Formats: sequence, C-alpha cells, structure tokens
Amino acid sequence: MLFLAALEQGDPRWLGQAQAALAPWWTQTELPSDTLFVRALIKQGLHDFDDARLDLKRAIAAEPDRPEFWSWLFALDLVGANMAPAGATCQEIQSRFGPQEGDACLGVLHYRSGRARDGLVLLDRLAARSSDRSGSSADWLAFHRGEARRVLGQPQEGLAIWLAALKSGSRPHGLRLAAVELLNDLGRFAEADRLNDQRPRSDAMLVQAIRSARGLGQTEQATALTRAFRARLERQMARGDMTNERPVIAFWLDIEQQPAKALTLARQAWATQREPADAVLYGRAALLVRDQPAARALMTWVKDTGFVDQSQKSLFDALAVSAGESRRP
Amino acid sequence: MRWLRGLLLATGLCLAVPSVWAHSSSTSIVEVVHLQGNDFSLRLDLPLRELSLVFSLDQDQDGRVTWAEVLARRDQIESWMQKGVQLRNDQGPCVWGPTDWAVARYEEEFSLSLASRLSCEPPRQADSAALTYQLFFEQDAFHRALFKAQWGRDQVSGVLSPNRPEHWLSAARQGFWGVLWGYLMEGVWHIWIGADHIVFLLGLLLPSVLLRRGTRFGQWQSQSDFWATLRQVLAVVTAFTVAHSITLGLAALGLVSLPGPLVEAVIAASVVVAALGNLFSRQLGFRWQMAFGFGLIHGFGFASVLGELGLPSQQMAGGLLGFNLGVELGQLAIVMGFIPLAWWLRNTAIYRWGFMVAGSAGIALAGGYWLVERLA
Repeated sequence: MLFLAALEQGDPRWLGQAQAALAPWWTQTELPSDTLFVRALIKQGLHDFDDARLDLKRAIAAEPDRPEFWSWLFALDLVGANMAPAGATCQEIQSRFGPQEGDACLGVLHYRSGRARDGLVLLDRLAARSSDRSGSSADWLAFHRGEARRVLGQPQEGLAIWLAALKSGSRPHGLRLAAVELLNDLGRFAEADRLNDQRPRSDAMLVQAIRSARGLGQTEQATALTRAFRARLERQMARGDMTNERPVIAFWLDIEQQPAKALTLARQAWATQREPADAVLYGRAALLVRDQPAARALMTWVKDTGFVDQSQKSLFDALAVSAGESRRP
Repeated sequence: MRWLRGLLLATGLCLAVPSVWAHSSSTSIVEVVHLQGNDFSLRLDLPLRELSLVFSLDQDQDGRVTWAEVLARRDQIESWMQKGVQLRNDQGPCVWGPTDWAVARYEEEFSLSLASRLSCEPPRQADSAALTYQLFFEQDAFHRALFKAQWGRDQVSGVLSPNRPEHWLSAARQGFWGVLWGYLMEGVWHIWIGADHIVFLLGLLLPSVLLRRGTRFGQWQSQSDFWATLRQVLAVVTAFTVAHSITLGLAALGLVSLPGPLVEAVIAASVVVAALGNLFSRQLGFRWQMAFGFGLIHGFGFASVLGELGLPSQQMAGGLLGFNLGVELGQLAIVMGFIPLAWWLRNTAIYRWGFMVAGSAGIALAGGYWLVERLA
C-alpha cells in the first residue's frame, strides 16, 4: 500500500515508511517471498538495483508462479539496459503466464530496443482487448502506448493518449510527469502548467514548473520556483542524499545552465541506471561540454540496446559525430 | 492479464520512479542556541505531513489539516516531542519551558514550528550538552533532522539520523590560538562600533598637540615638541588601557561587578567630562589620570560585551586575552590615524576652533545625549 502511494504521488517518503516497517527484516536473507519482494521494491527505490535483483531472484526461487516478481525482474533488467536478460525474462513470462502477458512484456522491450513499431502493434492490440478502461492497467498501457509513439517520432499522438488517460484515470505521477514534460517540450506551456497542479510537487514536477513559467514569460514565478528547487537541493545535500537524480541533472542543465555540473552527475547516474531518459540527459550534457568519452559511452549503449528515438534523432546524430562516428548506425 | 498490475508497478510508470523520487525526503529542522548561563533556546520545525500520520490530525478526514486540528492534539504532541528531543549535560536532562507554537513554510509544505527555552543544571565538568533527536524514526527510516547549534562563538550543523540520533554540543572545541584570534577580532570590532569609547578617547587626545597660552577661552598655542605630544598620547592611552584591562579582567572572571545601567551612564558622563575639560579647564593636564579613572568604568562596559559573547570555560585565558588585545589594537588604529592628522593641522585655526572647540562641543553633546538616554 505504501509503495502504491509512493507511485501515485511521486513521493519518496512513503518508501521510508515502508522501510521502517521492514526494519526488523532488513538484513535477513531467509524471509517469505512477499517480504523479499517488498524489500526489493524499496531497494530499487534507493537505487540499490543489484540487491533488489538478488531479493527478487530469491523470491522467484521460492515462488516462481508470482507474475509480479518476474515483472519487476524485467523492470530492473531494463533499468540497467541489460536487454538480453530482459528478453529471457519476457520469454519466461510468456511461457508461465500466457501470450497476452508475454505481449505486454515484449511490447515494452521492442520499443526500448529499436523496434517501436512492432512494440506498438502489441501494445495497441492489448489495449483493444482490455476491458479495463480506467484502472491502473489502463494507465500502464496508456503510458507505454504514448511512449512508443513518442519514440517513433509521433509526440502529438503519444501526448493525446496520455491526456485522455489522465482525464479518466487515477492520474499517477509518472503519467502526469510524462505528459507535462512533453507539453513543455512541445512549447505548450500553459497546458503543462495547468496539468502540474498537485502540491507539493515532486522535484521532477518542480523543474517542469520552472520550464513552464519561463516559457510563459512569468519571470517572477520562475525565479521563486528556482529558489524553491535550490532550497530543496541544499537540504538534500545537507542530509547527505543522492543528488544525481534525473530532476537534479535537468535542473543544472536546463535551469541553471551549468552543463559541466550536469555532466558530472549524469556520469555518476549512468553507472547504475541506463534508461533512455538517462541517456538523453547524459548526452545533452556531453555535447555541451564536448565530452567525447561520454559520447562514445552513449554510442556503445545505443549499439548494445538498439534503441532508436526519432524525437531525439538530432541529439543522437550529434553524439555519433562527437564520438567520432560519421553517422548513427 | 493478471500480472499487468505487477507490471504497472514495474516497467512502465515505475521505471521513472528512480528519477522522480529524488526529493523532499522527510526532514525536521532543529536549532539550538546557548543563552546565558545554563539555558538554551530550542526551535523545532516538524513536517506537518508526518505529524499528521503519527497523530491522525485530520480528524474530519477532509484531506486537510487545520490549525484547530493541530491544536486539539497539543498536549499529546508536546509530550511526544519532549520525549523524542532531549538536551542533557552531565547533570541530567534539561527542563523544557513553555512552548510557543507556530507554522513554518518550507517551499510547498508546512511544518509545525515549536520554540522553547530549556534550563539545565550547571555542569560538573565541561561546558557541553548532548542533543538527542528520535522523532519519526520508527515511522520513516529515511527521516532526518538537520540541526544547527550555536554556543558562544561556536557554530555547528549536522544531521541526526536513526543511526546517529545524538550530537554533543560544546563551547570549547577551539584551541588556545583559535579562541584568542576569534576574541581578538571581537575586541577590535567592539571598539570600532563602540562610539562612546572612541569619542571618549578622542576627547582626551584632542589637546595633545596644543598648549594653553592663557586662561581665557580659546587661548591655545600649538605644541612644537613632537616627543612631548607623543609622551602625552602614550600616557593617556596606556592609562586607559591599564585601567580598563583591570576591570575587564576582574568583571569577566566574576570577581567584581557593577550594575550595567550605572556603568553605561558613567561611560556617557565620562565622554561629557572629557570634552568639557577641553573647553573650560584652565590647563590641559590630568588627562592620563582621567583616562585611568574613567578607564576603570569603561572596562566594565567591555566586560558586559564579553559577557554577551560568553567566555569558553576551558579557554577563558585565551578569550580574555584575545578580547583585550583586540580592544587595544582597535584603539591603537584610531590613535595612529588621529595623531598624524592633528599634528599636521595643529597650527591652523581649523584645528583650534574646528577640532578643539567645535569637536569638543560635539563630543560633549553626544555624551550628554547618551547620558540622558541611559538614565531615562
């Protein structure tokens, strides 16, 4: 429940409460699979992906017929850009839980590995068959159908799916954030601002709010929000928290316009987390600072994953040039 | 699609989770300031969201916590807070005074701000106290308290966590030279901002470059012997220094004390007397004696400043010496700036009438104003 609350609100404090509840069992290895599973969720929230994967594997060994255990393993494979294990997990899911479950997994894997059109076919087919129009399953499908379209270079179509889902669904933080960010990217600042209405805002939403205010020419508002973000950052640093999270990198990059700082943090983040959004931030900072090793690392990632994002084509083309490759493969 | 809900948590919206959960972890703010003696002020800003979860503050469950709903739990919250936050020294826990309640805003969230005064028993040994914070840790493993503490000139800040819920505060963490330097700067600063000390000294130094020519008002001639001038200046400055050092030391060590208002009034009176002496005295002698006599009183004034700063109990000598040296250095800087100017202008009417007459009159007026103000 606490984890669902964290997802819904984008508020990490629920995670802390979940960890406090699990405190007596935090270091034990012989635990019921449900406890191992919840602990894995908390650990991944803390970016302890390796330990989270270990807990999941233990849980799966104990109860291999629990689909959520496999789905999380797949998720963590994707976070680390381990596409081959992710594919193997999808196969396991398909054989254990049926073709529809396999399609859901493959749909995501496809658009994350350069086969967005194939992925979209699978995801759209799932949506057509699904009777759940407003629940969390619908939100999940909407997010991926929209993201697959964005990756295919159809941001308006992707956005339309997200906005429709937000009108009818439970408005989970991840879906709202995706929509607000894309609205800002498309210059639709007023709509982004209207959608960014939950308080208190997550860091990611606060960065988007600053972008919207700047886009709308609301200088005072942008300044106040920037000050608020800086205050949060100072507090995080005083606490000794991680400050290489995506919103912080985006803040240094887009708001403070300090690409060197953003690059340092993005490089740290890249060591543990290699999703497309991380690649975009890392790549943008690398280009601004003319960091060839970073560009090469990203090109290796592109080759390994096969990822193609039409909406970021110019970025990846420039990275290919910076890495010493004439054109993107 | 029985696993889709699981996947929802995982692949889709959750993959964004690491990126969006970067923020606003649960944090309290604790500020402790050492006051006089063994008392401390303590301010505690507790996040209302967490407080609401612990005390179910949202009684009507409308999704909002009102001030009335917070106040309805006042006794329970205070009791819980006093159990979870403690200041203690080697004599045991300090006692909480009455607590003021307010609301503090941190960006887009609110905190309950509690302020109180804690009284401790005099410690047997070192001037130190332990701050312990244990609120919310049972409910939230990531909760932290950011603390700031000030004890005399010492300032520290840090984080209190479930693994390290305690921090020892102390007034005497600096070595002898660090304390000496810090207090020296305070002494310089005090003499520079202490207008009454400066004008008293200037009042005594104004006639150093002149000699009485007759008994009538304004009958002065300029001094031609530089060494005689220097001797006079040294006599005045040394007498003032020796005198105020004596009383500063005695008062700072608690051996002698005078009522503060009386000291302040006499200091103001000393300014008037020094200035009027320049204007109406038939001779310009007795100035070093005056500097010594009133210097004793000025020393009590310096001691009260030092009292506000607080002397570190384990580095008292360094603090006292540093402060006194700072006062002397500040004073010396004034003298070294003034004497060359006075020597250069001594033959002019500007000095005799502008500096000596108008200047002394101005000093007397300023002293009179302070005297009235301090007696009021």
